[in-house]
Amino acid sequence: MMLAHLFHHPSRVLAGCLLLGLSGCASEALNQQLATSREAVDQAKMAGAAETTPAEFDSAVDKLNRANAAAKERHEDDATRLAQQAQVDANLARAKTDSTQARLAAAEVAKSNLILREAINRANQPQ
Amino acid sequence: MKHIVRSTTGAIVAGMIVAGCSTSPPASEVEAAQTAIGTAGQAVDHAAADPNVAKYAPSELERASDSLHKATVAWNDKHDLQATTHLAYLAQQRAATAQELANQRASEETLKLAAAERDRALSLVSAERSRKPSAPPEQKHTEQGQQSLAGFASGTAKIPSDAMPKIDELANTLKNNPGQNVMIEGHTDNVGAPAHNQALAMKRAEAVRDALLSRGIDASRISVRSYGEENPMASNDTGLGRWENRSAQAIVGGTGAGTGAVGSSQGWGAATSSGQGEQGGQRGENGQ
Repeated sequence: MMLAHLFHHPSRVLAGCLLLGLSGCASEALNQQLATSREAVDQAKMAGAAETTPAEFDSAVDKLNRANAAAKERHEDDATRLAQQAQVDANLARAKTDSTQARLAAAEVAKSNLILREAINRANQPQ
Repeated sequence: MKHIVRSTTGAIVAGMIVAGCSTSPPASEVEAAQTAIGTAGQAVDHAAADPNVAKYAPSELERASDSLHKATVAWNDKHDLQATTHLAYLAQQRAATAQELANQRASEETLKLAAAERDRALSLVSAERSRKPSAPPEQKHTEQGQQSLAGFASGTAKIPSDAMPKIDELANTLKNNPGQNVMIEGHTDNVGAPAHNQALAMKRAEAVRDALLSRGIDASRISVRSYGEENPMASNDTGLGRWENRSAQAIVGGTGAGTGAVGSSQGWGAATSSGQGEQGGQRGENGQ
């Protein structure tokens, strides 16, 4: 296993420590993940995901809260996984919201085109 | 993992764990891992088969494939069910996200095409109108261009927001051509009392004048007049025609076009006081 090689050389202990997620030295990575996930949730919220895709959005919020709680308890692995899942849930919620809005906008213009066409046709046929 | 590091003989412990992995995990875990990887694999395959995903969301698809690969490795190498299901979940959600991103872009393309079609239809309408004999009588050979600011809401003189770019354009034209003036003619559709429409059309023309003033055009270069519901731009028989007629027409021309005094309403004086328009509001075009 490659990780084991790290400890043959003392200068690589720190790198190995970061890589392996030891408590104390990996919390920076976890904090970063928590911040990234928080941002993903915030952006989903701003996009309106709470209303459009409540299932994914609520799941993201719930996982983020649990990730923060796990981080406080020093359960780094659990916290990291929950935070990562919160992030992908939030990203999906936002993407679904954006695509729904784009689809509705396209449908609206298509509908108004239909009305416009009909109006033009009527205008071209004197009553 | 932590066991490995805490041991001073990491290599040996790691070797033991790897050896431990070679023993068969419980059947229930095998099944759970296979289900997780299988479901995620289907989601990734489904997304990868969509040409829009490859076109519009390749990086998200790559992240999904990457997570799926890691999930497979986590199971095959370590039989770590927790890591496997976690990574498979990430893969599945990322594949779904890639699909949604692609759907979004595809809808945006559809929207773009529909908007282009709408613009073509509107220019058709505008071309149709210019062929009509009822074109405004004061079009002169000095005329440089006519800008139609149509689509006022019934009974109101508030410039429609989508006409604002045209106002900007008009102001720029006037700034770039200091020798030219502008005549603004207000129009209404034929819904409501003529006297009210006369006042309403004047208010529309004045609203455009005020917008030009606020863009720095000198008042001496702007004339306004009201046609009320007379001289319609289009037929009042259709909703579209009435929409077109609820307008202000800005005619930019040589020094001749704007020589009327500001607020000029010769021939319409009796009907164009704005006070009367307010009173006539009940009976006017806003009944539409």
